[in-house]
Amino acid sequence: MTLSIKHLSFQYGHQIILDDISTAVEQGELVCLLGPNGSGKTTMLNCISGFEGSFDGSIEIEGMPVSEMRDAERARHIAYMPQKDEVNFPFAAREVVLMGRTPYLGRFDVPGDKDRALAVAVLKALDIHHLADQMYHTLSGGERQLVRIARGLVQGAVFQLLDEPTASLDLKNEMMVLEHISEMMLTSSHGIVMSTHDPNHAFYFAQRGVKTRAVLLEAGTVVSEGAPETVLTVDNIRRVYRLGTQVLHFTAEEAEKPQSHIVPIRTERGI
Amino acid sequence: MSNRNSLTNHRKTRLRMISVCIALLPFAAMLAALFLGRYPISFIEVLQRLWLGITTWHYDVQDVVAGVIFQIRLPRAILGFFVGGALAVSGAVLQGIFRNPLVDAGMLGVSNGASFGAVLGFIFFNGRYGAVILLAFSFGLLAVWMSYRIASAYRSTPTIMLVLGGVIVSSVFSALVSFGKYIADPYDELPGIVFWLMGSLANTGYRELMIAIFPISISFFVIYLMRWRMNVLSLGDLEAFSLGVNIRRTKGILIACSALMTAAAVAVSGTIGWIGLVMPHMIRMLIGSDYRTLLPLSFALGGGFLVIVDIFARSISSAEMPIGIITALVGAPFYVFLLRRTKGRNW
Repeated sequence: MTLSIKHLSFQYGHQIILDDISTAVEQGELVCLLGPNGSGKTTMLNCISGFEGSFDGSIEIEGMPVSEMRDAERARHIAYMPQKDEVNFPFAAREVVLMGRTPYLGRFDVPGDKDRALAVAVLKALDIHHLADQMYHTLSGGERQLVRIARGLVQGAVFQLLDEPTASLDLKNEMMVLEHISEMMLTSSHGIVMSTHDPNHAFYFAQRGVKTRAVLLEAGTVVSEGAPETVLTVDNIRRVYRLGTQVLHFTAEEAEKPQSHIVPIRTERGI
Repeated sequence: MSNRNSLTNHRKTRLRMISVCIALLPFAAMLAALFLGRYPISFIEVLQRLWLGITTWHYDVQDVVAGVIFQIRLPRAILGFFVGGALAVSGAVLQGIFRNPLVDAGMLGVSNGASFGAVLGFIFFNGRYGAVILLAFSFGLLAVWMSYRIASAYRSTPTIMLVLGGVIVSSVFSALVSFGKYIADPYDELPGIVFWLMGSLANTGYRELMIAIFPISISFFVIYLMRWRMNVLSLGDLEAFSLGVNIRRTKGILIACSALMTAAAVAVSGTIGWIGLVMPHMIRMLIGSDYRTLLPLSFALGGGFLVIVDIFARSISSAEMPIGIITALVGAPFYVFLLRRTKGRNW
């Protein structure tokens, strides 16, 4: 399946947020959406998910416009994990995962035993079954993200949109989330769009053998897209972030392939 | 691991015990409502008359005890149960939708709209009961509709705007109520208005029960059907949307049902505060926020609580006390006690 985005433009009042973006996400491919704050990453994800409906251009899955899909049908194709996590009522993590089954339930149904079994299976597959009975809002940031990833898997959507899944996580939790995302890509054929602030995430996924594509945004337009090595160059980063960087190459212990790593050196003030 | 399992099992048994107690509360309260009151009736007498009533399906008209039980106390207790339940459930629903613990149906203008309708009934129809009920009910719904119209003038975040619209409409109707009180005849009409505004189940019978029971049961049924969708809505609009929930339609149905059941409750009982605000909190603190249990248990607790309060209202003094006074006086200390025990957990 292909999720294609054609001539996507979005305005908020007179302010242009997205300006004629065209790209596509293939099944089995991970797209890293990069760009400075305010470059339109979240807006783009909101548009793709269908939540923001008043855009120009088209977003289609296999020729079917997402905006014309019924709510449940769309939810079976696209799962969205927004950055802001708004749960303020206490629910067990198990229930939060179970909510992923909603697009398969009738409007008045509640989940049944099969849904429950599936939720447990996914929790076990992600190695977080011990969190099942804990209250979601008492979990750590990293654990919460894993529970939400589990919910996306239970939702069974091919395309998963992740808005900065590692935002405000500590080093270990960040790595844990990245590992789970790459395992998800390697074991099943999802198409993931993940926005992130760290270009090194794209290098990490590429090194793990995930088919990775980087899309670099600046002020609502695509500056460059393609393999992480060709997009995330010192020149492109300087242009978009106004930041001087250096690219290092190293081979991690027990890793098969070498990996690139971008290190910020100094900001270019006054440019 | 096994230790933790047994711990959660222990917790589950406790939760089930509390749930069963809350579910039984309204039945116990309604039974108590039959023998407690100014007219002395013993528990045995109540059981006798109930048994006779159930087995023969009628009672002796000459029998004063049976008359008090079946004509006065029973309909009033059942009505109290439905009114209290409706207020509590609509509070639970609206607090969930607006993600705000301080919201109840009053927030949408229902109470003030209904009050104004009742004031009109007192002034123009001499407080004839049917007119007051009908006008209160209609104006309660009219107020919600107006709040909704104001809110839909805005493009984004309609629920926040609905609260704003509700505040605007509420204050207009509150001003109109004051105006009504100002021009009302101080000897003839004003006492009725003031008493109605404080909320009471005095002089209610099967007629009021018949008026209120259908809107309340149907609304509750629809809300209960949407219990899982309400759970999903707690994730926030964006995530609920991505799980295939039609946010606008779902919230619209839930708000309409809450408004309908509150308007029906307020129309027969006047404005009774506190229950819609606090009963759902109590269930959230005691049991949790899963709407599959939150909705029925809120109904049971709100209903049971109002029946108990009504017993006090009609037995404390020879004249009826307005219920609104007692709900706050009895409810507030209990709520504070619960807040300290649970440390406000679950909010």
